[in-house]
Amino acid sequence: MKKKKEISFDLNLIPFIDMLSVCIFFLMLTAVWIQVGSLEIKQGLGGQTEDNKPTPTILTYINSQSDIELSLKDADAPHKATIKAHNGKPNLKNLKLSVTQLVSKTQNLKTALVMPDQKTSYQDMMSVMDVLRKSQISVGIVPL
Amino acid sequence: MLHSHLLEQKNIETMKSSICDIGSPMMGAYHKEKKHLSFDLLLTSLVDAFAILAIFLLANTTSYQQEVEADQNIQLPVVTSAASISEGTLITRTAQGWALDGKPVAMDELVAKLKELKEQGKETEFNLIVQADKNISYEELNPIILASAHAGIESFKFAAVEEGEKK
Repeated sequence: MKKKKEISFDLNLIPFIDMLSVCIFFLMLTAVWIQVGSLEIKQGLGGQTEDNKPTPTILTYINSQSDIELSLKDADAPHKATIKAHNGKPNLKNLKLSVTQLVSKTQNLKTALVMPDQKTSYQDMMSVMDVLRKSQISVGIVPL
Repeated sequence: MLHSHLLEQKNIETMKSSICDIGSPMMGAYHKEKKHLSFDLLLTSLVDAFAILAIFLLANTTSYQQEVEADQNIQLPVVTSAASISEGTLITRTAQGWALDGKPVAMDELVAKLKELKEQGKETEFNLIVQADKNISYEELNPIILASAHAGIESFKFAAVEEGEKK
C-alpha cells in the first residue's frame, strides 16, 4: 500500500524577503533626506495699498558690520535702536527681544522692511528675515 | 513466477544492506542516534519589519511635494522655520551667473523673461524661487530683486534649509 504523501503548507518567505529588501534599498537610495524649504518674502518696492492711514512698519537696516538698526515708520511713538553684532554676525537673540517688545508696544505692527548693506551676506539677511517672520511680521526686502 | 521474482528482490535488498554495513559499520548506529536540530529563522517577524519599513518609505516618497532639487554646489542658507516649496520658476545662482529654470540668463534679458513667464501663468499664482549660496553678498542678489520688481513680481521664495537638516 502506498504511503500518503505529506503536503507542506509552509510559505516560502525567502523570495518575499529578497523582494522587500530590494524595494527598501531602492527607496532608501532614491529618498531625499534634505528637504528644501523656503521663506516667503515680499517685494519692498511698490505694491503699497492706497489706504488712508498708513500702517506702522519696522525699518531694519543691516550695516556692513552686521549691526542692525531698527526704527519705526508711521508709528505714533518714534523708536530707534541699534543691535550690535556678535562675533561679526547679527545678534539674533537681541533682535528677537527688540522685535517682540516693539510688537507688544505698537498697535497694528505687521510689516517690516529689510534693507541689507551691499556687503551683507545672504545668510545674515535670511537669519534676520527669519526672526522677523517668526514674530508674525510680514517681511519685505528693499533693493539697493 | 511471481514468487521467484519476489524472492529475488528480497535477496537484492539483503545484499544492499550487508554492503552498507561492511562499508561503514557505524553508519546504522549513527542514523539511529541522529537528532533533528532545527535551525529555522523566525522569518515572519523579519518580513513584518521589512514590510513596515517599505510602507514608511513609500508613504514618505509619495507625500513629498518638493519640486526643487538642491544643487550640489550650493550651500543653502539655514533658517529656523521654513515653509515647504511648491511649484514655481526657479532662479539659481551658478558659478557662471544666474540660471532661470536651468538655462543661463543674462541680466539685461531677465526682466523681459520674467514678464513673459508671469504672463504665461496668469491664471495661477506666480512663484519665483531663488536658490543661491549662503555666502554670497546682497550686492550679488540685488539684480534679481530689482528685475523682479520691474517685472511686477510681488513676492519671492528664498530656498533654505531648516535648522537641524544642515547640508
